[in-house]
Amino acid sequence: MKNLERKILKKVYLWEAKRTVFDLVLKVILFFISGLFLFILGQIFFEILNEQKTFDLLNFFNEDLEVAKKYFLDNIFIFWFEIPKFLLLLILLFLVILFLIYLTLIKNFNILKNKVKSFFRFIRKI
Amino acid sequence: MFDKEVIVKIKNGEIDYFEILVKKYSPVIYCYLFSRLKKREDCEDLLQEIFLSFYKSINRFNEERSVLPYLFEIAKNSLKMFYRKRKIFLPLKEEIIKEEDYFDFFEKVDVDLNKLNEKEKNIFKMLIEGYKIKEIEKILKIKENTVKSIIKRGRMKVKS
Repeated sequence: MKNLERKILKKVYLWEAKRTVFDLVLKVILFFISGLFLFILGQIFFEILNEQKTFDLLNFFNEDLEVAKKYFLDNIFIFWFEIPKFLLLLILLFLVILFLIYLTLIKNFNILKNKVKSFFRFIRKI
Repeated sequence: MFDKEVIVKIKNGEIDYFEILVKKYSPVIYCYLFSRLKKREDCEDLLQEIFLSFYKSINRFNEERSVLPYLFEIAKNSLKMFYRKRKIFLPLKEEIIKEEDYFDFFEKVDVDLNKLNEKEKNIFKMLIEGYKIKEIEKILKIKENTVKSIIKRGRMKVKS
């Protein structure tokens, strides 16, 4: 019976190890890919804004408070009109993905740590 | 340590605690399987599968529930699957019979067609006359597999 118990545990550990590694690798890859895309899209986004000189609109903040207040809504509207919206949407999407992956990694960190400890204990036992 | 605490620990990633459940319940489940299968190797394979599927579903398992009935539930389902797998092989062997085998049968056995019903009698007569199964299928407008199974049934009747 002991031999059979060991076989069962071996099977369970093997399955869990495969799942954990796969899960971790997938999340890390997704995290880096999302990060990379976010970086590239961000660069493009800022370059487009720079070319359009959209950032010049923000200079009005250096004006008097009264003037800034008066033209605040107009400037914001123009700024919103000029930014590439599809690109912004993509950036937001990748930001959300990145945030979700980060959140799950943080949330499951303790579980992952315990699993790794258990794996080592089991290997030492064998 | 109670099962509830053990399951909470396992859910928390401390897989070592699964050993407690395996040690506690594997003899009971093994006895149950052995009472059904009577074969050590099959029981061992099935027991491994049962505990693995229990582990796979442990995150969904409500720790307030008791473990043993749940394990028995898995064991019953695994047994069903096991029997089903076995069942699949039996008819397959029958299907492998080549068309010529049907004709050999008539050559070897002196067939008493009175034992058969009308449908079987018709098909057997056509076979004796040299029709092929495909032709019988077209003439009688019955599916090929149905023709084959009618022949199979008829052969059993004739043999008995």
